[in-house]
Amino acid sequence: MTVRPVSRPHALILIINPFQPEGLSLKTVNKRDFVLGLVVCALALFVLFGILPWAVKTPKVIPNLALSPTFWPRIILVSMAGLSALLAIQAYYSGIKSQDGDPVESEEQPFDMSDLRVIPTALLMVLFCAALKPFGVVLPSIAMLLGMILMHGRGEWPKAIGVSVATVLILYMFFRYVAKVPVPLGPLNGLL
Amino acid sequence: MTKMKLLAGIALAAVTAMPVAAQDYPSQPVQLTAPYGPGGASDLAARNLANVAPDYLGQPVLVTNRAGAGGATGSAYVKNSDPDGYNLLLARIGSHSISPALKSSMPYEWDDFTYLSLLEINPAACATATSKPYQSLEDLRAAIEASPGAVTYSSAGVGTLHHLGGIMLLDEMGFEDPGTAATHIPFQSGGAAAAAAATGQVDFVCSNISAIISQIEGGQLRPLVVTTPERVDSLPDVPTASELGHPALEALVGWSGLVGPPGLSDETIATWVEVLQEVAADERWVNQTKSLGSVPMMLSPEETVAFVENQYTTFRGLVEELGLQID
Amino acid sequence: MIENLSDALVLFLNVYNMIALAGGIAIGVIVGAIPGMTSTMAVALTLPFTFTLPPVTGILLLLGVYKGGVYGGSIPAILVKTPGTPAASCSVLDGYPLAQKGQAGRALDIALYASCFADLVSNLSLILLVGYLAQLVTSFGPPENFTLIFFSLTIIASVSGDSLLRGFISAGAGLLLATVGLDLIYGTDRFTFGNTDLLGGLAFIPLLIGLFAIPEILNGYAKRGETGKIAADPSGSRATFADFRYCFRSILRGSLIGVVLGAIPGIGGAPSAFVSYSEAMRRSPNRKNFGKGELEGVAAAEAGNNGVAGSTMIPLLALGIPGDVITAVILGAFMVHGLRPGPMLFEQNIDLIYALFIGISISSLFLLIIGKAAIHMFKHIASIPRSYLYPVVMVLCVFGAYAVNNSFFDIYVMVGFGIVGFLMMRMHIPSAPFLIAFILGPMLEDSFRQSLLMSQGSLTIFMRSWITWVFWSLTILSVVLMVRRHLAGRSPDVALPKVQEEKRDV
Repeated sequence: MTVRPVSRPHALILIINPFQPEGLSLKTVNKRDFVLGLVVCALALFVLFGILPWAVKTPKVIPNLALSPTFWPRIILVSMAGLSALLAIQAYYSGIKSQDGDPVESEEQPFDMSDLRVIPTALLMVLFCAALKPFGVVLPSIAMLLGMILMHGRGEWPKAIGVSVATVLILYMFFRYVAKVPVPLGPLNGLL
Repeated sequence: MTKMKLLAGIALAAVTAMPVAAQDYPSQPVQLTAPYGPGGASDLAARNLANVAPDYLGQPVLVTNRAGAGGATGSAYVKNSDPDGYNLLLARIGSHSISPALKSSMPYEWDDFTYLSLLEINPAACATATSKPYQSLEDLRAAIEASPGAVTYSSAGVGTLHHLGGIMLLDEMGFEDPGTAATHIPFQSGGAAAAAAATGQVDFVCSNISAIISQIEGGQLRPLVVTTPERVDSLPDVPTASELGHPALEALVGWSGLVGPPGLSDETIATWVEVLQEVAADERWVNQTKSLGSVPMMLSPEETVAFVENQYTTFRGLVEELGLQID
Repeated sequence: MIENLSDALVLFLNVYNMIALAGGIAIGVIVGAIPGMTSTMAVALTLPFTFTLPPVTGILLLLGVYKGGVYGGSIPAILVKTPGTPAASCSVLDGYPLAQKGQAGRALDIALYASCFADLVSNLSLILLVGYLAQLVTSFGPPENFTLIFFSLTIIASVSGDSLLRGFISAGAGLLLATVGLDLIYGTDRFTFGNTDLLGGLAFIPLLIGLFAIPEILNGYAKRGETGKIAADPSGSRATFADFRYCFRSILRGSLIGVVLGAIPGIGGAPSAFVSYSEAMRRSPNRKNFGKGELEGVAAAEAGNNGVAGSTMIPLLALGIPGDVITAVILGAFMVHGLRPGPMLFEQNIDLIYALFIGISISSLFLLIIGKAAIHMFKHIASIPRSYLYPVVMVLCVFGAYAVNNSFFDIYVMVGFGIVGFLMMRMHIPSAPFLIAFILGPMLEDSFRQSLLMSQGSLTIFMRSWITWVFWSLTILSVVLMVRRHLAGRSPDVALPKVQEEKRDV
């Protein structure tokens, strides 16, 4: 196998990421990785300097630095900051110029318009979590199941309601009487 | 239209569900939280009780595991639940007397609970691997004195009987600072701590006898001392702590108890005292408890509080004296 | 010996033992197939029923539940990308892509065959090698564990997909989140922010469901234009004997990896599945197809996690040491009957041990029959329209996550990580490295710190025995191979299969 001469970005990438796998040409590394690298790096540094000092408590006496409760989190955060910075640098250099010196546009956007449709579903899940404390697991589950079926756009009302109520009740019975897990009923307490 | 019906149905259900609380206790299943994972001594004690108590209580007892943080997660959950008698906790020495004595940041104090009864006690022993040269406590003491810090002992984590047992033993042996005389090596569970001692990875372990008896009988562990006032039937050759001149070690006795959130009604307490008296006389419960290596011991609520308080005070005193407090 | 065996046969051969074993496996498969309900929970739930059974019957029941549960987890992993148990999370990587290609039946079949074969190998190892493997177990202390887990972490490279850097970042996040909770060594709080739920750390199962199942569910809403069935009817595809032969080397290797890792206390099925998967990938000529629906990947993962199912009993029976939570529960069952596993049990109750061994050795056959029936039953899942299937899976996950610790907090964790997982999916961050790091991270940190405590700070303890040297060598070897392969793969002039051929000749 002969080693071919490489252009400057190529060489840089070889240094910072010798494992660049075969399937991916340099052109496909894009803005996505650049932003991701910067965001993760910033987050890691923020946790390292902003949160870790007060959120991880250390005992008064530690015989050895490597035994400190902060030792592992520190190592992990420093590596993450370093690796994500590398990702950003790599994406930056390869994103501006390709091997041939042509500007390269990002080929793939991580998000597109169809992802907007995910937002109501995700919101429904969050609402569900908020409803657990006051209403128990059973009623919010029926509501979420119904909502999710209808949001998918194919369910008809009567069938959707039937499936929601039946599924949740069967699950409740299974967990309560077979698995012996007292799933909270909320307002239904005493009825089932 | 259908949506309206559903909503109306839910509203109706909510209204009709109200009067549960007014009925006599217990009118629904009682949830018994075991604050450790399945398979452990606390879980087995809880399941054993839940197996027998419903016959006298008239309602099922459902065991749920809420493990984490050395029993603190499950205990805090029960402490903060409604004192309606439907949320009880299987309290253990680790969660209710050692951890509160050792840690300042616990989400509860030992006396934040309504104590219903002590259920069983677990005598403890300190043991070393048979592959180690220590034939007696005195051998162990000499080895620790010869090279401070080099002798190790295992535990099931900070704030467990194993941990405090090691410290108490070192304190009794007369070492100035038990924190540095020998090295404490925590493991994830009591099983792992016993295994580390049996395979000679560490020098000794102090544990409840039931967790190490099979290694003792199998010839892997050599017991050096038991913490009971009298010798233990299954280990007739092992000296007691008092015989060796360390009566203070007798405070080191594991236990399980039944407790509820603060403010349980007198009616609930009375119901359980009655139920537990019948459980204590039930052969099934007694036999199961014995076969798991524990000694059945039911105490009244007042006696239970006194028992735990006494143990807590002893441990707290030791922690303060030695400056072992964890912030 | 003969006398003991005939005593054992008498002890084993009654219809209740057969029913207990078969019934246990059936319960295990069903419970294992429910996301969030692990085989551990199934075993713990069955335990009280064994109080009143004779010892052999009761323990066979528990073993059946355990073995069934380990296999059962693979069914939803393949069909709906929701691993039923943590150990099945590796089966998702290739099983779900196969299902999407309409080959769910083939994937389920090979998972079952691999599971049964691995189970058989593991059971035979238990019976024949219990003494030798118990010796190995006693020489594993914290330093040996550390080197083993350090080596296991190299598998992150195999499951990182198309970018190692993104894989490492994902693994870093997993390692960091695994530090949440009480510090093992000093008992101080780490990232708990005064929250009692966080004191115990983040539970693995809600995290697992959140990262795998929920992103897929959310993704289904983004692409709802192209609805239809999740995959073709599994009965439409079957694994042939040729498939089994094609995967056989990986299955055998996975079984042996499972046997060894299973015998070491505290390792368990999930790491074993990942190590087996990574080894299969490293040696396969179809390396590039792994993660995109490679049959051998499913076979290797399932062989790895079922390979532990027999050998976990080795430390328990030989030394009385429970290696994991499940064997701890089984230990409880022994003790309830006044039996204490350990060397003494072999001396005093050898007929009982042999009776158990006879039961264990036929359990693989039962698993095959019952697993086949379960595939037949569960295949209908694939014909449910997505608009109903996804929401139902979501609610199932909610119940499962709640059952882990009877806590709403776990449901919040699941939903939170579901949304994070969806973003990760869109940013092309692989979630498998996150999970592996989350499982192995605490083991790595604990064993590292325990070792340093034992040696009073000296690093030479990590070189103390031949076992540590073996794992250091394996680690270096696998890193070197990885670098060489990736560098070779970089050159566009060399076709990959050719490189493979050359390597094999060397």
